[in-house]
Amino acid sequence: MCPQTVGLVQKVCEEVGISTTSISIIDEINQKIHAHRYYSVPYELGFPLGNPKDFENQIKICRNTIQLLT
Amino acid sequence: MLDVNNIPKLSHLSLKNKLGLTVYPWKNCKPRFSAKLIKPLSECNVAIVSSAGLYVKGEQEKFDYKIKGGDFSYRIIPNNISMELLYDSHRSQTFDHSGIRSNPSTGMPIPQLTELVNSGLIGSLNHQHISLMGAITAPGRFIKQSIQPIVHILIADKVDVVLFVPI
Repeated sequence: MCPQTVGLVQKVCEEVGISTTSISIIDEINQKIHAHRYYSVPYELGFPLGNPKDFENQIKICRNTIQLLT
Repeated sequence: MLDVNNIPKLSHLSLKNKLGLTVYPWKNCKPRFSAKLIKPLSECNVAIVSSAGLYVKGEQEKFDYKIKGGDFSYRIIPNNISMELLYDSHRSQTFDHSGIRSNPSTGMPIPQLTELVNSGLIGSLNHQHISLMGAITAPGRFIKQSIQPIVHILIADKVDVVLFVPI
């Protein structure tokens, strides 16, 4: 349900003029809800940024997700 | 219909949960129109909205796992929060909580985005962020009572970009 919860907020943000981007763990659900913009990660539920100990990779995921806006 | 049997990441779910996801009336989250970013990222104020169910221990209430249909409230997370004070109260048992419990910043990536500010990719991090508990199976109250206040906070803070982190 997490993709839907954030997707509902993402929808309204876009409609009021705030640009948005999201991490996606389960793309199939994001496709189902027509999520606006998302970066697909190859990780399991509960690990949106991958390995909790790999700070550099976590930064990379955040960077890639935000750069979808460019 | 969502073909959950062909989603490897959901293979661990019980038949009951799989069936629930299959027939669940998913909301359409497609915006009627979308925002166009009119300035460079390096000048943008960025906020995080996370559904990891994190709260500030000792200062905020946990999310309430007993609320039927899901806790539709939200918590404000200060940007200068110490990660050691963020605790997981997400009710869902469909995912492994060890990641956000050992490193809450994987659900609320303030330190990671701070690095992106330092590198010049983004202009600033907002002084506060939003925490939700994503296991909202009945989103009506969330839509009616929580989304507008959250968006008003983001507007008042002059947030340009929101990074969403579903767990």
